[in-house]
Amino acid sequence: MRPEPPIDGTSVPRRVCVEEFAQDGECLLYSAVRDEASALNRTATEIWQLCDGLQSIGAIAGVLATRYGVGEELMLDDVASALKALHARGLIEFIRSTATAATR
Amino acid sequence: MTNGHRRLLAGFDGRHIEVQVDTDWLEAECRARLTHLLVPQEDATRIILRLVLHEFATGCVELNDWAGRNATGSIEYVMHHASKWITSAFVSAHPGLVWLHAAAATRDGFAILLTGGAGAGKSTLVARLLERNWRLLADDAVPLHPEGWTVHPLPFTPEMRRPAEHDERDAQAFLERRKEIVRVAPDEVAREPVPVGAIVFPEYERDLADASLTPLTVVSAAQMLAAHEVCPGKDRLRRMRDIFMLVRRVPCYRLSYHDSTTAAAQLVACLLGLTTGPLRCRGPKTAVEGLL
Repeated sequence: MRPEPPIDGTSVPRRVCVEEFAQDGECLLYSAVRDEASALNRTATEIWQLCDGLQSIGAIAGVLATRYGVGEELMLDDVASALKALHARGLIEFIRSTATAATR
Repeated sequence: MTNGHRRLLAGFDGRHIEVQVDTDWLEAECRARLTHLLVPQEDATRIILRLVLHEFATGCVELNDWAGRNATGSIEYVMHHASKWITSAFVSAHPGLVWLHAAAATRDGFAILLTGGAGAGKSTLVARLLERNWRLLADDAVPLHPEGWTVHPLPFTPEMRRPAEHDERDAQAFLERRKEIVRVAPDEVAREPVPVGAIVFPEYERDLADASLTPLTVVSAAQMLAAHEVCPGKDRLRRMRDIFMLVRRVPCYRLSYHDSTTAAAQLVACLLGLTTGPLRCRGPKTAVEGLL
């Protein structure tokens, strides 16, 4: 088993295939693999939806910082901790680091 | 003590459980808990489980089923297992229904579901609703038909613990306290399916002064309801979809309470649109357990 890469602003999160039930800006994610349902509030749902496998954590923080008019550095910590929580529940995976990809 | 086998027959929706007992006392104990599920012997068309209860010493009971399961102990302990096995057999026989750990009562053509974990007060609140002219639909396990979202009656007799003592703090000791059977008259039991009108998640809070009813968002209610499925297993995804559809249609609330009598009175008033008294109906709770 390969060791997990460190999660930082350059890591790129991607949604894992789970069943999504959305209502009023929130969503419930059901992982059949884990037989586990996770409820995401509005903010977490926005982050989840930005995990497209293309944008890094830093880029996602940038999008949300612009959307809410707050500093990107401030947003980065919140986004990173939310993504770690999603990752711990098996809802996203980190496919690569943009820095690693750039040096290849 | 032993005076020959006699047979009780519990039924739900065309399926039957046969319960054999060998003493008058055992028969009385079983009848007290299963009385509203019992059907005439001639209805025994499709028996899906056979249970045998044997009183081998005074007050000591052995329970066996035809699958080889066994439980031995006090009547409360054994009947707890018997109820679970009976429910499980009915669940297996009706996989198209959604089964929830809940209690349900009905009045005015709609049903309230009280859903939650052990010690939340489901049975106690149902008993309090019965005191207010509601009728019993189900206790412990509630079968729901996804078409029309009706509760099908499965009226195990409710059993409730005495309220916690004033200075009692040990939650585990409370959960282990012996339950008392709630006597329910036949005319206090609903016999027909009833559509769900509201889903309530009771939470007992010992230091709470007033009860409060907080609307839940669809997503948080779906997560909470999914956590209280009976025998979750195969085909879970389909039932997750069913549960999500249900909570989109039916208002869901968290009921925080201390005194069950007051809470039931206020719950009824609030749900029937007659809100008076100190029950606080708060705005929707949007931040759900979990992320951020």
